[in-house]
Amino acid sequence: MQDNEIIELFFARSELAISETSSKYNSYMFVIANNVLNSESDSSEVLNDSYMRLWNSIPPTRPTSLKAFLAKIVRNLSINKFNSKKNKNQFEVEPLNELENYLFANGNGESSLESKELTKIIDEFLEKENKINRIVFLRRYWFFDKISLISQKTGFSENKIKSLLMRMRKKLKIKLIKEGVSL
Amino acid sequence: MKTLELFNSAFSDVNDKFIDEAISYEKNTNEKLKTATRKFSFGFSKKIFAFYSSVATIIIVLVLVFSSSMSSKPPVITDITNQKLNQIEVNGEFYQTANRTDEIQRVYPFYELPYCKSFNIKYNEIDFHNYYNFDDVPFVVLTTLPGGTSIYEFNCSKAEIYNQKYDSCFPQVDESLVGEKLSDVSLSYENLIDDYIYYKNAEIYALNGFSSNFAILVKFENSNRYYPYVGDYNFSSVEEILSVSKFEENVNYGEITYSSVILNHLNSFTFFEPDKTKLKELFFDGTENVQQPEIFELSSKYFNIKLTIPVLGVEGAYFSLNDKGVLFINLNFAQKSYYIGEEKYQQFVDYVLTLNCKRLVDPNPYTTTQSTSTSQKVSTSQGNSGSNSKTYQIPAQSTSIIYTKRASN
Repeated sequence: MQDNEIIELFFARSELAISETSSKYNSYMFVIANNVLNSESDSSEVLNDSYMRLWNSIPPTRPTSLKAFLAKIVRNLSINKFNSKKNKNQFEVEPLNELENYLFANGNGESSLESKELTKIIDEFLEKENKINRIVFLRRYWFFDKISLISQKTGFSENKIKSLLMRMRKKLKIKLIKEGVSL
Repeated sequence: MKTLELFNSAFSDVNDKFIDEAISYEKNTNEKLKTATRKFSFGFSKKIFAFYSSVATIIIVLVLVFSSSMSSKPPVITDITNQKLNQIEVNGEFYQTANRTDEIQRVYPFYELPYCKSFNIKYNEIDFHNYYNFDDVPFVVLTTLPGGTSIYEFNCSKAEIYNQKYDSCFPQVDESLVGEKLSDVSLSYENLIDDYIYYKNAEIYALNGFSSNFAILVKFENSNRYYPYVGDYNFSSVEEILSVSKFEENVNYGEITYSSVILNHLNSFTFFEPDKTKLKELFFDGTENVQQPEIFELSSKYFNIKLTIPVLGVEGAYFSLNDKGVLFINLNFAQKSYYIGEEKYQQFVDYVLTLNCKRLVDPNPYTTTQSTSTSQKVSTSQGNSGSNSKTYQIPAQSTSIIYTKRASN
């Protein structure tokens, strides 16, 4: 079933929308959740919550890309779940640390920016990058893929991926500082 | 707010197009890279192969640049608004969607979520669309990909004329409906293949019988067809939707469907050829007195009524009536819900049961163990990502039973 048909099912408040979404995207959603949580049971819980969130969001939202919309929901819920875990220190999300430790190495300032404004800055940063850099960056820091997996998918060596990511982290930091974001 | 928290939240909301890009790359590029290297290295070492392939690439690029500059012919996608929804023509080549006949016949697996049983939902005045604005172009038509990545998935275009927003799903209208010419405009549209924005001239006409704030016709350059675009009209009531869209005159009702679990099998019932006058009587007679609750309980028992409004280019719209007597209206350009009462629901059921009906039964039994816990199902299906568990498999075959129309008394 096409995504727009699934969206129509949501608008018609048909529970088939959930089953269709599940049969088409369950694996995909699970991978995103599990990249963050590294736990089958936690990821499954997040998926359940994601279906609920999806059902509550459509309508009124009519996403232009159901897949991206789902990915955002699952990622957000997974990060929330991860942050709420008491023993989270036992397991670290490597990409998350990589990015945070670099960008916020000097501490973690307060910011008066709105989240939307910061998203705009990040969007501008990504827009200026070439496509392959952007994809590698997102695969690592948005989808939390392992370097080895990105290497396998792109055909680049792991060292190349690491240096590409390092350059992009630097550029992002410069961009954030230029835009007045307090790091 | 701490910058770190803010950053995480902001980064989660990056533009969908970047996420889509990263997703599609995952799907497509891997194979290409691998097979390209495997198939064409001819046993040379990687470095030698890389060198010669670079030289070859440069030569090919030069040849292409030369030939394209000689012909000076830009890539052309024909008027996308003339395309059928399942077919697109690019540079004289036709691309066809996958044959989905089997999908129409298949029975969907039953997937019960405990929290879908009932919960409150609030409907307000809603903006359902994502529009794009180009400040320097007065008229914008952008095709959108609801699913995001495939050329086959586009279904509608959105237009903005001097701050007024319109939608179209491309069916053309008869010339008798063409009213006076309103203006000439320059429009743009996004080529779904190469992602470029192309420009085209168009004429805007009134759609006879409708206010131009609500609906207009667009006639594209080099085309003799008129496409209805429906405005982003702010309806305050169901009555207003019906009168502004001249709903009763123009609506065509399609099939009515109902799904239920009977004797441990998912049953899907489809009822054909409902009578327009009868449905009007059931849904709208006395609507001036109906309650329009903001909050109500959803029900798992409901009928979906498919409908089209050809004159407005509306296809794939739905009514959904549940056993609580709540009617959801989704006409693409307007969404509202209101309470018509459980008595009317019962009258509707009595009427529907007199229609021709087709019943599809899922041959796989629906058992309590399959539905006790969503998390169980998810975990079993995902223990080995990439392969689906039995719970989610579409049955290979469905049982189809045809019912004939009852003799009327």
